[in-house]
Amino acid sequence: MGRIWKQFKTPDGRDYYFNTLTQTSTWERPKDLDEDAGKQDRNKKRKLDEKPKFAILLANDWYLVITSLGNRYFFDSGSGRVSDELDDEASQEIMLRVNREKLVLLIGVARGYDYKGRDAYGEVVGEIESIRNSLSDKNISEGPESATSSPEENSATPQGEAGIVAGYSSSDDAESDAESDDEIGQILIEDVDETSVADREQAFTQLFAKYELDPFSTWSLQSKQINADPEYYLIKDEARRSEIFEGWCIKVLADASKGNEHSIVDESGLDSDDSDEAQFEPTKYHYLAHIVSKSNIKPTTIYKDVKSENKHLFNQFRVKDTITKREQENFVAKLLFYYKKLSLDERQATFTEFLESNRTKIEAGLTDRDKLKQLINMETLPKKSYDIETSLLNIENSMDVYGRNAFLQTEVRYYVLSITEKIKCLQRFFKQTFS
Amino acid sequence: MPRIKTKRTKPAPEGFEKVKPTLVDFELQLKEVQSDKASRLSAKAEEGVWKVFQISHERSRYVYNLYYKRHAISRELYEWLLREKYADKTLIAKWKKKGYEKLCCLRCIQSTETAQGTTCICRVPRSTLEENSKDGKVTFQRCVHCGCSGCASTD
Repeated sequence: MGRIWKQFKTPDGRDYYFNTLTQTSTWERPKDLDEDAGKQDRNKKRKLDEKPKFAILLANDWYLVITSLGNRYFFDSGSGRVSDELDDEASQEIMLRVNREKLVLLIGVARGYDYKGRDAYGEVVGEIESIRNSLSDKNISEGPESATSSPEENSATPQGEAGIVAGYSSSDDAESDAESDDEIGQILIEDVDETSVADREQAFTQLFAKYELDPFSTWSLQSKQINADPEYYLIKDEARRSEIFEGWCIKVLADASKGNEHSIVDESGLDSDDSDEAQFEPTKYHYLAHIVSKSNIKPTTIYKDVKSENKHLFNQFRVKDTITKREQENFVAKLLFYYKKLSLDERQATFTEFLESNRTKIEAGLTDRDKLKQLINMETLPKKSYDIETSLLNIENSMDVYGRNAFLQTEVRYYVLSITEKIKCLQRFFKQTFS
Repeated sequence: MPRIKTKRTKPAPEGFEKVKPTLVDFELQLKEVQSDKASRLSAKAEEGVWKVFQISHERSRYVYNLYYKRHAISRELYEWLLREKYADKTLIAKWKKKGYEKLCCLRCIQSTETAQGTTCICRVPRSTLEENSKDGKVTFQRCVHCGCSGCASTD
């Protein structure tokens, strides 16, 4: 059905109204026109219809009202006045102290978001009540004039009020929310600005794990899975969001590859039980230490010199596959200190001292004592450098450097000697153990 | 567009399964755009192509990030993806250069093709555009070539 009243303008600019049923016109604005128009636009307007959804008593008869669109206003039940500004000191005080995050959550719920397992309304009411109680206690001690209503009375009212108000809300709200997600975002963000950026980013990052996003995918695809969550809007900037996602992907993938490496090491450990010929994984900085021990070290040598001098060795041993650039740099810098400041004897002393200080720990971690004994009693070292290295790896393997003695792997002092010297020192060290 | 798979195509290296769903999604997006009709207004005629540019740029960026930023795929797989044209390797080559980190498309830096012998306006940093405008308002919105709204490294 069309509209009954139509609005026209006369040539001189005055409005007049025409009734299509009775074919009459009038200068005065008819009453039914507005109702009529209202009926007409209802479908359009319904989605944007704002209804109060939660009401929370603050103080002195003032209520905080949150509407189904997530907006808030204040209502003075004493005078029946509605306003955007809070005109009451005690209430303002309460608003200042309320936990922002909880309020934001409540706004999310008002807009139709179903936050599983959390009663946002109950939380906010509970908190405001406790704030009010503590404030009114203070006020009573300071002077009785400001606290007018007793907390017992109040605690009953907001529940009842809210129940009624919530009853008005229709299922349409949820619908409108899905379409105006970005609006929520804005409202939420305005409210959360005070919570620290780092916290928000952390909460945001947790979303990725929660929704099990794919670290192999792109942000533009993955964001669709999580943009219905209110926490998605903790970060305002889309570019920043995708940046955080990228960072998360890098981290997850790095962790995953680390896990793989461990499993490889474990496997090699298992293999060694079957045959003596098995290849052992060297300790973390094994090759790097080897390279440093080979290189020509002057008092001015730094990491860069070592690297440029032994570029082919770096490539041959694939140092960068297992150790990041920064770790390499840190380790070599520390190691160079020992090589520059101490002579060979002093370094041997340092190495033995380090082992001695951890003797109990190391001995507790030994796995294959028989084999170790055999290796220790080897009088002459093999001729080929490859065999020397293998025997060191054998010793290290029976010391369980990958398992219980893993702390050795990351200690710089464990690497201060070249491979041959290290074997000799280790032999001496373990001879004491078995004697 | 990726090459058509034939018998002679080398099988994908290990790890392709993990990135496949995303690449398929990009392909679907491109197909959707394909059926969009171009506007009859000559000023808007190019706009359909912009979407194609945008998606293929995104896909190239995705492959680039997978290898260089996330270290998620192996060198073999990365090279295979480039060979099969899942990503524009010439564009990626530019991204590695300083000042071209965000480059939108190759045509926008092709100074020989323009009448003034300059690059596209989308290469000009926003701050420079603001300085040069009379009232501090920038009228430039999207470039003609690929619909880029600014790809200077500082933007």
